Amino acid sequence: MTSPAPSRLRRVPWWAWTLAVIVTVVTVIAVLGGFSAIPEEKLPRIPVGDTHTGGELATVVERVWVSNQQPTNGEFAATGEQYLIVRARLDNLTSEPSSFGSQILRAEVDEVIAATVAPDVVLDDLRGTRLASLGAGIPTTVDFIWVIPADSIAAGDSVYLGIFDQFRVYGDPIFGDGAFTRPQLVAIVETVVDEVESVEQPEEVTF
Amino acid sequence: MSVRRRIQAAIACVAMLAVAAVAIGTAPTSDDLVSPFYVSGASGEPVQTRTLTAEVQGARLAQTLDVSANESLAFSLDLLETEQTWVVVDARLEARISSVSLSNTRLRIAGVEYRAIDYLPAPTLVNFIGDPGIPFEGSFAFEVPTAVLDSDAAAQAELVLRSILSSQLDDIAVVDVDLAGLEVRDVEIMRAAEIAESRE
Repeated sequence: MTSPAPSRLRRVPWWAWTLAVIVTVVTVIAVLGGFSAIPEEKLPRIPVGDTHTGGELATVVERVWVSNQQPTNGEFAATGEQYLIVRARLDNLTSEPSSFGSQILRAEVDEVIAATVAPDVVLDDLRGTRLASLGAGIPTTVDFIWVIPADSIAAGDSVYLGIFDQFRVYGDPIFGDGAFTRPQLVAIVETVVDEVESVEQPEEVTF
Repeated sequence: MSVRRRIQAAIACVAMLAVAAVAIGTAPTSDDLVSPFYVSGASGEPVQTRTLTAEVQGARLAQTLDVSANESLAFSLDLLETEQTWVVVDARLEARISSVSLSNTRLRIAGVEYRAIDYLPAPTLVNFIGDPGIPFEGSFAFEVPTAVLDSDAAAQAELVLRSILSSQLDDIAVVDVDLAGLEVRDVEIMRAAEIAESRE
């Protein structure tokens, strides 16, 4: 009794099978666009006064100015310093308190403020207190304030404002569905300094 | 392998895949696995969790809060305004096992949560730390959209007493608070304090 002749497929060497699989996978990836260059997306430019709607907050930049006094609480800058103040209206679009408000904006002014520098203070403009959390459905006017050297910025100087957003992470092993990604830059506001304000400081009374 | 055996094997595979799909579809999420246990109760009656006994004594609505004693602000501010409405909830609390802080307490209305504000004169119930066995009382204040308080949902508000620490797999007291029909007036915040126990 003779054994049956091996089929043609069994005569194909193992490396040919491996090569065929690799070629097939690479071809499928190429056809699906896996090797295409990622197109650079230009960040949207938002005019002052227009709303940027993010995943958590809606943001309207209202005004940028320089002053030697903080709004609402009236705190004066130290000698040789002044404040760059960015006023924005923030609205929490979620159903929970948001603590992202103070991180949503960064400013860049040539040779004065680097884009990576966080504001020195973020105030709730209505009360003059530091911004804590933003309540759901409660639009809040917020002042982002950077301490800058006096006379370093003039009216009409360009200011670039970056609007950031954060995105929820689901199924985190520690935080479950309550974790967020690191803030990401999602839009730019190009504007200029409205005015440079100088408020006369009352003389200090010492006892 | 006969055709019949092959059909049987195919049916068995499909059945196992269906069972696996059902198991995956009905499996609890990671949030479900570690979610807290909510212990509910009504205002005016004690609600007891593993770590806390809480009794909500009442709620008030205000347009302005008197915070004239606020020592935490760097400037003078006597009245705290809002463009919305303040909800002030007074409560009596007692820690049961170890010191308790309820700094992440929320007011929940129609599924939306509002956090108790933390810039009122210290000590408020948000920043008060209560020791076990010593009852204390005070106020929580929340800023809530006026339209929400005018809605029917205001009658089914809930006070969710939470600490800033993770409450995964632990009790959380949830107390029903009826905010419907309350008059809006200027109110003074009840400063958090231990309740003196009478020796008589």
